[in-house]
Amino acid sequence: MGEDNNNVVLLDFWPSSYGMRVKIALQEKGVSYECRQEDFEAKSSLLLEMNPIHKMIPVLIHNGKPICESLNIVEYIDEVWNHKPSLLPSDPYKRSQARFWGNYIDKNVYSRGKKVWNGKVEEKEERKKQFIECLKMLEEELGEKPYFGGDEFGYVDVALVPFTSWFYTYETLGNLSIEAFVPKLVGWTKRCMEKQSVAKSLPHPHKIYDFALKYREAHGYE
Amino acid sequence: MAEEDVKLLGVVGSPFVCRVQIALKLKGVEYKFVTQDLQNKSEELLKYNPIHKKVPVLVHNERPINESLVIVEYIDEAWKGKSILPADPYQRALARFWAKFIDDKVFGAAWKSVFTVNEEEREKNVKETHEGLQFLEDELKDKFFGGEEYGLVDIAAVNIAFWVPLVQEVAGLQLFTNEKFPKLYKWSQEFLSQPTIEECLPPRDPIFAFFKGRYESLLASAK
Repeated sequence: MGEDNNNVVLLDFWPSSYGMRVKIALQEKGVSYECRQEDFEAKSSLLLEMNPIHKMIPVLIHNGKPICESLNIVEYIDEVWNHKPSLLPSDPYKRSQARFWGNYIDKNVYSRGKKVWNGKVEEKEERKKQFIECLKMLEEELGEKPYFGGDEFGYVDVALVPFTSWFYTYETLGNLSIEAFVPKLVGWTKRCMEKQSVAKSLPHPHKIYDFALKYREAHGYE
Repeated sequence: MAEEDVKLLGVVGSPFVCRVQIALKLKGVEYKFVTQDLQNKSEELLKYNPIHKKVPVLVHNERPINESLVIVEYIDEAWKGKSILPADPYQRALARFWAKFIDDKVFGAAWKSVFTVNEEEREKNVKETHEGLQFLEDELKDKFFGGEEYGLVDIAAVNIAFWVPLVQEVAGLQLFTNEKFPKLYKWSQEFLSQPTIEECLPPRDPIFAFFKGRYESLLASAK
């Protein structure tokens, strides 16, 4: 891959866990890129041009060509900048398991987490239960491994760790202690945060919390 | 060459199972099809897919892989032979994007258009299906989504080619027609008549009867 023709732009929205995934992957590979923030109330013409179907971030634009959907982008980054560290394992079976868990995280973590801080008051307990169930499932998958990828940080870790920047928000607005339920997962979070690529890509949990409060106010939630 | 002990847990008539059958056939993999009773799930299914408890499940040397598109990519990587995904990373990213689009935006909406008794729901899903199909229509530039030869997106779109026309007939809906989507329609006829694909399709009449029965039960339960 020619290093002299590598123009990389990321269309992002800083509180988005999906955007954070891409930042981590780019950092892991040491790829320089330009990060442009999108305003959801006024999407840029570039975003609409690059992702006309979903009109969502993140979008990676590599030498003018767009790649959409965060886990798709992560795989793309791993394949194009195929020097170490590898994000996906090389064994086909392990790759299939990584993709399966990536999908699981995609379908469950965001939607269940959002309901914890945004849902109707009377449904709160049930929603908290569902969110914790999902985290417990993930903790079980982690097992005794240091990372979901095994000894090395990888694709599933990249897929999940951004949501941990939202844990403080879920705990404070949802009135729950995540560590009490999934201590090993919280241990894994701390381990991931020791990596530069993760520490640099995740906003401080208090910033996320402030964002969540403003969001709730703007949308009229209790 | 990967060692052989391959089982596919599935049901005849599932579009998701069909995708896996196509991929296995393309690679010339011999396997045992283990028919499941989804009303009375087997221990084997629950053991190999404890989280979702769904078909298809591919079991290769006693290791399970779940979710049709994950399985198809696995098959492409584990066995040599005709490639299902393109070699170029950008083309691969596009293929994965469109395959997922079919599942997330098109097929789900098409299904909900048919199997609902709520008119508002139906209208909303018909609109979403049409929007999705239009994107696919616009995306189709060659004989197949994969180019001159079919690939991941075509295999993922078997749901659209075979199942959507079938269930729309059950409900008397006009979701996917030659008039509205001529390129896509032509593609579907071409794709379904490819020998490998044709051999993997379930027999139309019993599947139609099955879904018609389901649709009628739904209508009856709403009265």
